[in-house]
Amino acid sequence: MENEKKMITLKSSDDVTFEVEEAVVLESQFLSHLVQDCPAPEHKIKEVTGKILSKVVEYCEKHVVVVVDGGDSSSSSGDDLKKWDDKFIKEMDLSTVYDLIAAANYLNIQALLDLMCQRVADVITACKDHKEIRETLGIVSDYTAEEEAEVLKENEWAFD
Amino acid sequence: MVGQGKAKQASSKGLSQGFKEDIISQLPDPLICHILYHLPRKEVVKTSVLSTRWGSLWLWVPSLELNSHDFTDLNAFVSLGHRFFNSDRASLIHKLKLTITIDEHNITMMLLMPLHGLMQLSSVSIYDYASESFIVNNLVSIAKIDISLFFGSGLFNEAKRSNLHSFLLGITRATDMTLCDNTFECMLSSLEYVNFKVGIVGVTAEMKLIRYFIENSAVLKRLTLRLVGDSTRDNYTLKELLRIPRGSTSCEVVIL
Repeated sequence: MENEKKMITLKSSDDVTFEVEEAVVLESQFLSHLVQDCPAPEHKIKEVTGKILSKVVEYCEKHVVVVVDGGDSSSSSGDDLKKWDDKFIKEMDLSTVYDLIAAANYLNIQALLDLMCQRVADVITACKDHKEIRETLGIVSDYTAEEEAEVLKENEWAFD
Repeated sequence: MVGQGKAKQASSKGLSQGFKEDIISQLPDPLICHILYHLPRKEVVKTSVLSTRWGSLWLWVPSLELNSHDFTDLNAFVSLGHRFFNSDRASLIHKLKLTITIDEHNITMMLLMPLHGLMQLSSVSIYDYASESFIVNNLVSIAKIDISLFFGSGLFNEAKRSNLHSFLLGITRATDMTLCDNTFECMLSSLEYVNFKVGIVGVTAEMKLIRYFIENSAVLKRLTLRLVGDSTRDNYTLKELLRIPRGSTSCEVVIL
């Protein structure tokens, strides 16, 4: 009886359902409170779409397994997990990354939030200058030429 | 169908070719700040030039690493410090690392002025190689403070001793403090008398500090303190004190 895993169903904003073990749900602070406070078998998450929720579930399932195995495994499981994280983010386009940032923030999954923010940060760091950052992220500058020159001058030390 | 295929292709190439639409700016400010938090220190500042939306976002990032070495102009350094340590935002700063190599009086103090009374700072690292004096007041509830002060060049004289004294008074609420290298080295190598004017109850933090002085001061002649706990407690504290190995052979511990 004790070994039987409790399953919980999560339903996205567009009614895609995911059946996951309770341990997976506990990766999210928000969901673990929700499950505690309201012990229904199904929970609708209005703020997250099926596409994004599937990524969240994928991430949490991977990470929860490693923690359970952690008792006897060596540091290689940490390395494996990092490799898995790298692959997980590499396959993702930036708009999915942004959606996952919003979802991880909403569901309160700190590690996922940090991973996704680091991904965007790495994209920014890889750019050679601010023009390339704008181009890569699709940011349109609304500075006038004078204003831009002023900001550049003000923070001259950072642009060497 | 064709349209869908195209959209998919565009998004999978998003990283290499860039976005047509500015989706990142649609994220709420705190989340953009969280992204910025993961950037190296100079990159954070560079984002200010992206657009007006991003212009002041970096100022809300809860950590800051500043090195005076990056600045050729001292005024620019101080003005940046003042922009960042604006009192509206000061309570959001959690982590601070300052490295000062400019030989200018009290620059760290000038920079940190607006931080007085901060509630949430959890970590401060200050590497000050130049300032002659250094005072921080009312840094309430800092969890961790890591400080390396050289108090200028030259010998650790009476004036510097009194500077250090004022400095230590200002950070009495810190729960974890590391004073590195030269600050303590020069102090411990010349320290002959230590007098704890405040009554010692015998709590761990007090004992740790006393232990540090006794163990590490090479020429300490006398350490004076007052025990103000109840008699059982004082007895225990006394035993603890006598067990501490002494760094100086001529060290005498006086209990008033």
